[in-house]
Amino acid sequence: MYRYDHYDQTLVDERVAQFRDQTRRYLAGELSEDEFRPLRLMNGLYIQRHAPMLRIAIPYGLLSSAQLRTLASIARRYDRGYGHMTTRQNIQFNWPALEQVPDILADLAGVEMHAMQTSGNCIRNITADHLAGVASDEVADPRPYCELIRQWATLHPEFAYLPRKFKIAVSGSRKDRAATQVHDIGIQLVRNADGELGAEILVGGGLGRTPIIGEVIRSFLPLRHLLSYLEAILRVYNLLGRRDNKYKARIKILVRAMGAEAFRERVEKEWEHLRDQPDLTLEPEDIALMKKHFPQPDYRTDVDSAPMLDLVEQDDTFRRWYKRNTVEHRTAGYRAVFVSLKKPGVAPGDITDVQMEALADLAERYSFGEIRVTHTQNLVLADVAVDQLPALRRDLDELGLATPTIGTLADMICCPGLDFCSLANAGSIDVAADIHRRFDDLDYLYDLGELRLNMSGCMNACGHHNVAHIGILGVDKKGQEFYQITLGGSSTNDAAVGDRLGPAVAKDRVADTLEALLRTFADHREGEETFLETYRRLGIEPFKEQVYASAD
Amino acid sequence: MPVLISDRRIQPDDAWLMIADEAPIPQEGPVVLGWDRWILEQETLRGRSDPLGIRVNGDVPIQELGPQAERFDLIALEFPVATDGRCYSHARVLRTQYRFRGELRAVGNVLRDQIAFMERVGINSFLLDQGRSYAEQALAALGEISVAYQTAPLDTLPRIRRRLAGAEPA
Ligand code: SF4
Repeated sequence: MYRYDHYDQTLVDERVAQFRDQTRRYLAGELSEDEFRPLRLMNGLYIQRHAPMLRIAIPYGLLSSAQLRTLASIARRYDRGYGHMTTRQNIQFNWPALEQVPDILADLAGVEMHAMQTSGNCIRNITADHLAGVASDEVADPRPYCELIRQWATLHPEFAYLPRKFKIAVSGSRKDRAATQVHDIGIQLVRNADGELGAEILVGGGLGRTPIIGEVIRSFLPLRHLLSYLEAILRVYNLLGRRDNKYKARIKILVRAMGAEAFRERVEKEWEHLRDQPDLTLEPEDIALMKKHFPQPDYRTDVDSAPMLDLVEQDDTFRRWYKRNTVEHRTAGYRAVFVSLKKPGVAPGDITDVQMEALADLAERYSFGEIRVTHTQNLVLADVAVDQLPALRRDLDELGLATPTIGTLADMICCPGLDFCSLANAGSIDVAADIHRRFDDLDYLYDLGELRLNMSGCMNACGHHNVAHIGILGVDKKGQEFYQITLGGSSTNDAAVGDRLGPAVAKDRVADTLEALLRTFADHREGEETFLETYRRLGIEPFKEQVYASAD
Repeated sequence: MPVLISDRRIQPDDAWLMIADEAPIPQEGPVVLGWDRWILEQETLRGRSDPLGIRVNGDVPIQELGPQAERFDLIALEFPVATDGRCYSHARVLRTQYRFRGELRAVGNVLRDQIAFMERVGINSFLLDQGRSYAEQALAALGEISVAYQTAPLDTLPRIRRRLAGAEPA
């Protein structure tokens, strides 16, 4: 993975010192609340329901064992022994004391990490495919480009005070696992007819209260121009994006208002001035040098998969886990393993200090000392030799990290909701617990097949509810927690915004409603159709009828 | 008393006179006019030989200001609130695209914790409203972060390339 050089290290160290001084001045009353707000946000610090919340960047989801150990130690020393993985490959701590945040940032800097630009109206953490470098459908490894973009975006002086937050995701595979179509900028690595590698550029996607699927404004951008093109887009947005209404300030609204074609023209015009600037041009040797940071690990060639495959035949527990929680790897004898953070009874995405520490060890033992964070709030050990799988499963199971439900209804995405977030309308963690209790039969979950259930506690859609097959959105109805259901959304290649089912349902009716939806699915399903396929074939009516009829 | 920092020094005095939109323009001496006033009165100001400055905010289209920029000795960029980031782009475009070499001055809500970013987009003077000791701190803040991934407009060496060339993976 990318290792800091002296230059990178100086930047994060000086940034910590700067924030330490800013915090000191705030606590001494020299900085007003209004003045301190943008400064703390750009260092990842929110003021939340109970305490400050610190959001730490995990650039493109990649962590070393040493970094994960530091996160464990932060959880233990400064928080209440756990952290929360988010849909944007960040980790959040819910209980740090403001006075201690500079110390936390210093600990992070010690392992080449930071919390810069994880909040505020600036370019946020760059996210990517969690199977980067190992997926068999990969066109090119996105990580070197992510790191180049990360550096370009870090403390970019022109774009520190954008109209609103700005999110960039990069996918290097044919199957989009990075939700690029619902980001402010989505970058898809592609090859043109001549076999040359380039980027397809989408803009204006986003969730929140106005969910919009991004539009392609360039189908093939030579990679040498990647940074200058991003700079052009950001400049147009910085100058023209609305600043009078924060709900209309995202780039998606600007693209909508101008029309994608006019927006594209404006960007291309700006780009004319930027495209040949040497400092924004990625020469082949620049890219080659960055690629060296992401070498292929030293894979074994003597892996014997036969005993493991026998176990798949003989052992139900192992088979279930193997089928649900491991996926194909491009190297023979290897699989990528999902570490489930969806154990029933635990808030989705939460991980304890003890689990983090143990997992750091497991990563060293089984997967070259690296861990990835997925946007579905799980972790991945990406390079596991298949003859190690049985031992790894046992170890994960002991830690409560082997729940064999990846990709099923029980693998739901869930934001912190009313329990932690001051913007929430309704709880999400307790609803997740209800759903886990109701749907606890593994065979039933497997029968339902691939199903993406996402839940957000408010319109901000941190839980990506509006691009879920089944989305659940917390709303406030006269002080009561209610839940709006949407169907048919997706954040992958067939991206779509879900359709609203009908009136919101009360909290104690959410699990019943899900059951009714799934019954409708089972009744109408043809063959091995997924929920999404059945839904798209039938439309919303049968689901609506079933749900609201049974409610009477 | 506002304090002026320019070219990384606190300046004892400032020759520029900011002219309010309704106020008469003195016959002589360096003056800074609002954009609208300039648009309306540029014909009559054409013969003026003393230095002329212009005051703009993020609303002024940069494509209109840019081509005229070299007419001015000073462009004052107004930050009505600290979170209005449009003038950062104005500054960079003026420096890199229109090759503006005169003084770029930040005015309005100019804060100690933002002027390092302002400097790096090419702004070289800052008018601070919060008194002398604040200005001294602000001056010190310019050096808080000594490295940057982006090139400043007046840098000569392309940064990313220079750095990548020297940085082998550990
Ligand atoms: S979706 Fe709303 S409730 Fe949930 S974390 Fe985001 S802002 Fe908070």
